[in-house]
Amino acid sequence: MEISSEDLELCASILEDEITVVQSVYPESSRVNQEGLTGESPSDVSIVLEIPVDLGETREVKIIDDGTIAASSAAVSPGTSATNEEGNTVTQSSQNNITTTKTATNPDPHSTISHAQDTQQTATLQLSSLPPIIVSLQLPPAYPLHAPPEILSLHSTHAWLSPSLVSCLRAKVFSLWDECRASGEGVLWRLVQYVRNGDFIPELSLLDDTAGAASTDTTITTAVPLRIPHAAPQLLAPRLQAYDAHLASSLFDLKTFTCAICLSPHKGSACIALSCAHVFCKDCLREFWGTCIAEGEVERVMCPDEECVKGGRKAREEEVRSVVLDERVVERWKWIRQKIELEKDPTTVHCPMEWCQAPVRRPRAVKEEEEESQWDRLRTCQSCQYSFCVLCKRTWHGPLTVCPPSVTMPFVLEYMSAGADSPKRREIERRLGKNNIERLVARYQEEELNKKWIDQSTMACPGCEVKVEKSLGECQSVCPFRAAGERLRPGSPVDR
Amino acid sequence: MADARTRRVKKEIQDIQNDRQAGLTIELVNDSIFHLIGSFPGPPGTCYEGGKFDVDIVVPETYPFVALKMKFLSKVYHPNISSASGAICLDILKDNWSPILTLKSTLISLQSLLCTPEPNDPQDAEVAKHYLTSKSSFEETARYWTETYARPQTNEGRGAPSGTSKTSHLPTVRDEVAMAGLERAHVEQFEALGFERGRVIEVLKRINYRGANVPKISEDTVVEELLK
Repeated sequence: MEISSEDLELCASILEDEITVVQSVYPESSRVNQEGLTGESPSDVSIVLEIPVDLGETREVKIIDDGTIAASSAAVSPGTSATNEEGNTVTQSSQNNITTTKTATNPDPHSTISHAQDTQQTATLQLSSLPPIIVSLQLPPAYPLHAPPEILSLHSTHAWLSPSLVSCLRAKVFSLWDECRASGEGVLWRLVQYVRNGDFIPELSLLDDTAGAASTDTTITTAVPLRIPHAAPQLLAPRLQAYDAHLASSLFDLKTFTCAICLSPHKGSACIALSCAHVFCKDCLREFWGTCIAEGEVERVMCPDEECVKGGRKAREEEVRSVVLDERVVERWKWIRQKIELEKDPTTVHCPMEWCQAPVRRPRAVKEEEEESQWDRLRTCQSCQYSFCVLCKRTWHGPLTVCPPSVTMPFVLEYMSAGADSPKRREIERRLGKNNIERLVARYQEEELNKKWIDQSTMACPGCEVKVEKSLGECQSVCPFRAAGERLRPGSPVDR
Repeated sequence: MADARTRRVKKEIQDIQNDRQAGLTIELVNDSIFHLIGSFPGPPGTCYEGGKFDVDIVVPETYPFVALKMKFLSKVYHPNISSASGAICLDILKDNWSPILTLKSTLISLQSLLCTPEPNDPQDAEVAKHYLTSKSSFEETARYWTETYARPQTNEGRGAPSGTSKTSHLPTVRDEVAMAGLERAHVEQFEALGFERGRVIEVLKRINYRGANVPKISEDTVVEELLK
């Protein structure tokens, strides 16, 4: 077919227009070899489009094992898919494409073997973008009206599109060109939009049909998760994740935020987005949290937004770390927080060592109904390793030896004076163990009865002061330790 | 940091001055931007409607990381505001302070505090008792206080502890009794027994001799209290 020079000029002007549009709207997406464009004689123009895929919002992306590794011994590994990038530049048909990847598999046997073993892996991610698809086009002088663009290469960064999908996309480039030609336009702008907005996703059946959504209509339904078949999901997943995170953070760094604390605008790089998505400048937050930590008000170390303050959402450790920077301040924050946490726990007692005083927790959560052993009195201070009895606070004296009554008396009396089921009793029970305190109370009551009986029915032997039961009337009582027959006389020394 | 504080406070003052819609005003005291007098209109549809309430604001050294110090200069009859000193019981001025709160948002919070009294967490126990006993009588008193102390375009009542001297155009008798939210008949009843009016008002106020409480408190109890 002969093409007139007017036609060629028209083509050149359409091309020039569309390149200008693409370059001005997405300067980062396109690289043009300008030679052909500016030269006197019409020649091929080459353009490389690096088109990131914007999913609009965070969506679930499932990477499923496409079974290539399991199916053949000469499996396609991600390492080899990456070689596609070079392979594609030489060959154009999808048939050749696969052959290239197969031969390229061999230099990388290690990854093929290690991942061939675990088949049918699926990785699920939350992403808002996918790595760019890179299209290298050669545009002949008769493009776009009379000749299609020549695809020098088409591949995806990190090879997240499997070879078969790449060939589908290639075919789509030509059909798009055909559509655009009918309306007298070039394909570049359309192609960039098509990839960038993710319009190709439903057409390449990357939507997860199992989720019950109809993939027949080609609009992206936001609820439908993406399904990307890939030879090695476990290798691809971290790369996609990293790309997404990198993109998000570089976008964040470029944006400008108005810090609600200093009321001044700051570049994203000087700001931090907390896990609740509120953004503050790091300087203000450092000052605020630093003041709170210095004054011991760690309860206030949280997102300053009103909602978060009301909700009591505390700051996370990595947030405090990235804001405060000073390791000593972070340590202090953690220390006070831990202390408050421990002091909230009613089972906590303080280490009796005067120089230590560290809070000591009950070793395990004991159900109240559960039988407590005498070992339950044992506490070991995590800070100074001192092992002690929780009741008498003295060095651990084993499960059998009882605590001296003089030490346990105060809180036994306190416990008994509090009414049954009073909060005071509950508190003591929780701190010392219900069974422990009940045993002590029983022993105390027995002791008391004993004492009462001794007072009433015994008297001390005047010679050795051993209490002797007055069994047969005072005059009949006999001290068993003295010589038989020695009588206890009334009016003998007072009992002690 | 000090200049960051200055910058922020200046911005906040400007913000209030630019926004005429909210009806807030802010003035400097002794030309210092760290001691201010803010004011806001009483919320419509409440017993504070039509009033203009002045608030003394001190911006602390470590602002905005610690709360603004605020107290009412206009006398307000409200369970969470001291009727004597103007001290305010509001969570965001205490534990729930956050550095993103500003002069404007705090003044608006005070305005909304007037709409939503919290009698269970009172600053002024007598007022709170009054509120819980008889809401209609409380509202009447609060309205009276608003008319007396918080009238716009006058400085009347600002920080003045005694209402009588400033409101000479109103009958003094009505004044004192209404100010305490009591029934005139009750006051006169005990006054007739030979007790001083001031003393009667003080005691009746303290024992909350209002509405549903009146039948519960015997006259003898009141007289005993008066004689103490």
